[in-house]
Amino acid sequence: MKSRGKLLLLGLVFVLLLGIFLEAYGGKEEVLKISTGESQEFFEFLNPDERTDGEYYTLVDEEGNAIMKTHRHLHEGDSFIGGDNRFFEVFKVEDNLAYARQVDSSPALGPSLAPLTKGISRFLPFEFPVIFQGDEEKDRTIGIYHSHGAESYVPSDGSESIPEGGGVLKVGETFASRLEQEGVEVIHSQETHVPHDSGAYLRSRRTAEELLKENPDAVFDLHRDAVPPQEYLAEIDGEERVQITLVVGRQNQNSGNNQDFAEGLKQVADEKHPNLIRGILMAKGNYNQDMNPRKLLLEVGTHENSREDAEESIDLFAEVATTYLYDTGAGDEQRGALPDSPSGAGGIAFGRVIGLIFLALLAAAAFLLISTGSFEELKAKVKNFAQREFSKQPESDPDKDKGE
Amino acid sequence: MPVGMILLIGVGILIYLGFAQRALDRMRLTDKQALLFIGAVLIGGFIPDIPLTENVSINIGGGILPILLIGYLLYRADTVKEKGRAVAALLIATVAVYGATKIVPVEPTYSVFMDPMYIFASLAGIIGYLAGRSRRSAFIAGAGSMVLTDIISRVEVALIGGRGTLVIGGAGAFDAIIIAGILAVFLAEVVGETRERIQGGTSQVPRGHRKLEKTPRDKNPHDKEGE
Repeated sequence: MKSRGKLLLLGLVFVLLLGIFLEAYGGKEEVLKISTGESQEFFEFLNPDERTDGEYYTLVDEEGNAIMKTHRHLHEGDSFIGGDNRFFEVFKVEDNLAYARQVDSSPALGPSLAPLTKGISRFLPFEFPVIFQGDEEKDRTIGIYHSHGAESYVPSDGSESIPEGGGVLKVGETFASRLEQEGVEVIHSQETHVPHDSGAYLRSRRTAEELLKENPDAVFDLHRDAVPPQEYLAEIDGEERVQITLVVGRQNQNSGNNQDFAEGLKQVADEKHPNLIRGILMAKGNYNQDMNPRKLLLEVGTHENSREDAEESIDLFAEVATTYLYDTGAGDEQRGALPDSPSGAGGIAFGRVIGLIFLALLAAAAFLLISTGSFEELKAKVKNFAQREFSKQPESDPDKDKGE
Repeated sequence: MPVGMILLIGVGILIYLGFAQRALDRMRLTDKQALLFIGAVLIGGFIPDIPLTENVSINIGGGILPILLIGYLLYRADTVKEKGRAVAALLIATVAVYGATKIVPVEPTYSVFMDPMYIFASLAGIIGYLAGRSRRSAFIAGAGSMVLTDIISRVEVALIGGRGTLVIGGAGAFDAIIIAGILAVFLAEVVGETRERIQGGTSQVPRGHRKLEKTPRDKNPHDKEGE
């Protein structure tokens, strides 16, 4: 490439970058915003979810009864476990209405692979020798971080977003100190992961990895929602308090286990502090939950609730989390203090392992077929590869080559 | 931790690393070099980060090693034109990814069809492949644009205010930098192979007759243009 071409390209890149900066921060009123109104309008075809008209989505059942309201865009396939433990799956979204049908039980195993994995896991030995962890208090560890550390509560913090450190960090501190009172060692990251854009989860991935190196029993990513305040207010322990939503990412191999974890927490919360958990939302995305099968995102209230109320609720949740993890059979199985059971955390994980291997083989086969074009060529290529790679063992099984 | 969960984590990591090894093998690395690189990335992820400034540091496994690989791939590029195309792809991909971080909604629940991480990686991979028509330029654009986006976001924080530290490639082998590079190569592979199939061959010039190509059987069988 000629030097003039390079200069031109560099100039173009600079102008584009400058454009993005000005587009995002041109209007001085709001320091941190995702994009301007114009760009939102322009990209509406990409992003039909940003509702600026002040309307919400209402999740309704087949008879048209409202289940919940949310500002979040609901997609076909999303599911919601309500406060009353009824499980709903969205099958149609029309205008402001998301139609959901009630499903008997939550499909912790992927629906398409469920019969296969269930069938195979029936033959799996669940009596593996397990090195039981001593249940001493020093072994108890929980990690807390905030992917969106700038999130704040308007009535208490004065702004919905504080890039130097938002109110949600203080909610995290309350959560940590209550867990410590319960005898749990807490690793709490005060990292903000600013700027508040969709790259935040990529940056918080590093924090999550740091926490996971300490081998915690569970990791919580604390957030607050952005819907009207009444959506998160309910009577809990005889007082009007702020509720918590548990969010499970559907697009990763750990979703079954994380859903099971969320359901276990909710069950304990329903006994100890009914209404504390607003529901469990199984939504698109990852939330870095691909990194660990005991990792949840918590939405503690919304930006228009007071932070003090959110802190009171997270205090109650800390009690729920320690009770579930350290005082129930299911929690013991989660931590490996009890052997795996087919219907418990271990069994779900086994099912997912089989599904994962199956999908990997399918992907490898599909990929090989694309690159060779026909089954004959595929066979020849696999044979050729096996001969090249395992030339010292000519009898070796050509099927060994699953990687290419 | 229960046996099932250990297996789930272990198998997940093995499959991911297996695919990563195949992806690297498709570039200018041999089987063994690819394996060594993966091993180094894994171990490098656990070595303490190297501080660059007061609040920016870099991880050896997730940051320095992929940057070195990008440098190596650029250095080994056959022609100045190929190098230029790869650098151009990297810069354009960076603009696209940085732009996407501002346009794609903050919460993944709002995203249209997949997690932002996969959207960014695909964007960079497609641009890398289109510009360079090779898996190598896809990797350069995929992994490189993530590093540059990190740096631009840092500049942004410095300009508009905010508190926090940054570790480039801090999640080691599981960092978005590595994931984006690997995904980009696979995307290039699938798109490239499909295109070649529809076209009925690798390019108009048959293999072994192209300019600058040495012998059909080089030391590394993948060391050819278009791969």
